[in-house]
Amino acid sequence: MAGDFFQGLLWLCIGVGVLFFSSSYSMGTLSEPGPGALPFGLGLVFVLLSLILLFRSWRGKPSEDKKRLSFGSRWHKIFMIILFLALVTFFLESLGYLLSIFLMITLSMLIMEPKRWVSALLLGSISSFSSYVLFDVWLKVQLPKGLFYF
Amino acid sequence: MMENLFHNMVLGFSVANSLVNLLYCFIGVVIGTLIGVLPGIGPAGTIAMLLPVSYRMDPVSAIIMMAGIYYGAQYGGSTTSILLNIPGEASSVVTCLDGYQMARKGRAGPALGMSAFGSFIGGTLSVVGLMLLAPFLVQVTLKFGPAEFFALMVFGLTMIAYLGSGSLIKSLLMGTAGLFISTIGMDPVSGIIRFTFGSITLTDGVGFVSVAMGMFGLAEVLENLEEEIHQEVYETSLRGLLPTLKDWIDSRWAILRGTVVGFLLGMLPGGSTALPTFIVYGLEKKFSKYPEKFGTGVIEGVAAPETANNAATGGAMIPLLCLGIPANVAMAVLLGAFILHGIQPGPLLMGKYPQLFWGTIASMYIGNVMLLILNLPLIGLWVQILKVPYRLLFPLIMLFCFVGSYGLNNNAYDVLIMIIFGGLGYIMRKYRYEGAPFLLALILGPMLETSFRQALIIGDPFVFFRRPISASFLGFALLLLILRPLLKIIRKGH
Repeated sequence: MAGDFFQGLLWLCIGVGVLFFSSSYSMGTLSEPGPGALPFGLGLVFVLLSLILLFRSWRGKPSEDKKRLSFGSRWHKIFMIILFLALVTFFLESLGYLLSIFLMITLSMLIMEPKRWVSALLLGSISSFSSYVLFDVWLKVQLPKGLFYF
Repeated sequence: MMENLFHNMVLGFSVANSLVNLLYCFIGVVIGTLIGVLPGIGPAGTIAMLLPVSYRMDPVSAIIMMAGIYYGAQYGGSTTSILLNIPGEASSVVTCLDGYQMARKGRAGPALGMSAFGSFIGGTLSVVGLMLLAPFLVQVTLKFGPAEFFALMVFGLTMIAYLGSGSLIKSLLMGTAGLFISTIGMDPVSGIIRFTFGSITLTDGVGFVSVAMGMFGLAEVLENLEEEIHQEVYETSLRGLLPTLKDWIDSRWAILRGTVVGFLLGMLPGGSTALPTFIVYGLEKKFSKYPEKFGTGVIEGVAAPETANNAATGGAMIPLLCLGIPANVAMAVLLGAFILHGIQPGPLLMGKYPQLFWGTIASMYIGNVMLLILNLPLIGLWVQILKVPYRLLFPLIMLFCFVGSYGLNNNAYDVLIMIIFGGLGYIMRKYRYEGAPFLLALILGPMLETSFRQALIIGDPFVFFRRPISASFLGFALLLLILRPLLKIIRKGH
């Protein structure tokens, strides 16, 4: 399986990276291991496991996975939502809670169902406001205030 | 011993019966049933989302509520399995087989009723088991040193990887990755800062609560979004929820076997609530006089798995409460709830916090009674909730993940970590990597490393193999790792 091969390669890179970075910390001795010992050991495990994965794909063994990898028909929308969520989070402190949540809910609903903009706007405003009351006013979770003080 | 137990349970019920704790228990089981009914969000993600809210609660109330979510979810899961042929939880997948067929034959009522009764019996008996077994186990584990704990954790993590549904190597890779991520931040022994690359946020480590919310909350939402789900509730009369006498006679052994198997497998690391359902279904089929009828709507096929998944909940509490080692993802998040409140579960928990320990156990008896009431007369209400379309539901789950991760430390970095692991979790699901070994390794990592290094400081390099308990745990772990390849070689030889 080509998929297994690339995954093996990826894990091998991770393993080598872990070995490289953990070697900068003290290994300690066998009776008193230092902070680098466990991460270094984990790096070795990564390399070992990735080599098994690579070896098996090289031997042309069928993947152990029962189901074939398949992304759903709307997968590009999912990635849009992830990116968009990260974007909102990035500006969370300056936008403030109410505005960020409103944007998050309305826009992610619009990404999924562009035609239902009325329900997106409605749910966005209702849920941002009512969750603000629930969490900030009642449960006293400190929510980001942002530039507009809410 | 029995007198002690009586005394402890009086204490437990006096704690659990306070008005506040009854209320939180109720809130917990209602939320549990709700998320159990709703496909696309499980107990682990939910408990993680509610951790910040529980911050300001009394620890006893918080744990009672979160335990309620966990065992409550096992009740709700059957509803969608029976009415929609869509499992509400992973532990209700098997229930679809006969439950949906019963609904199609117009027997949705008895199927739902039997799963509620089975759940109640399995759930309650498993709490009895927990109550009786825990004190003995604590006596044993009190003698554990760092070497034993290290070996136990290695065994637990290997078991979780082994029992996972996917490839063993991928599960092991996930476990290793989790352990590595857990080393980011301050070294628990020497205090040296590792792998932060100058980031101040990472000094405290990667918060596992955000990771849990991302991997088991957000990722699940994303996966559900990628295909349009058409939810159609099977229109059927929900009258006559009470199973007939014949149903009871048919199911009595299924319920009994479901309880025993569920409880025992629930205790096992990686056993989860889903695994016993598959096993008891197979068992019932084997013991049945009419195995060919399984899958066409026999009541045992509903009673056995629904009893087993609830019996597993009481079992799963044992390693957490007595050893401080979670058996599954939901328990790992619950361990997080203990730690957030500054309490370390383990052998000392029972002696140090008897009110918390026995109060939680007592609340599980009460919660199961509440759940029986919630799930029998009020089943119609939950069916109505199923009619809420997912496109209105998913933004709300995202909102809870958002607020939940922000509320941890009041900063946006935790939200970012949640989103990153949400995205990773989604991709992992696509490539069949399991989240459970990763999260459990992440949470056990610091404990594992500390006990590993402590054991070596106290003893010599061979200390793990010289002490019988730790040696046997490590031996079992090794056996699990070589078992599958070994069997393959043997089979080829013949």
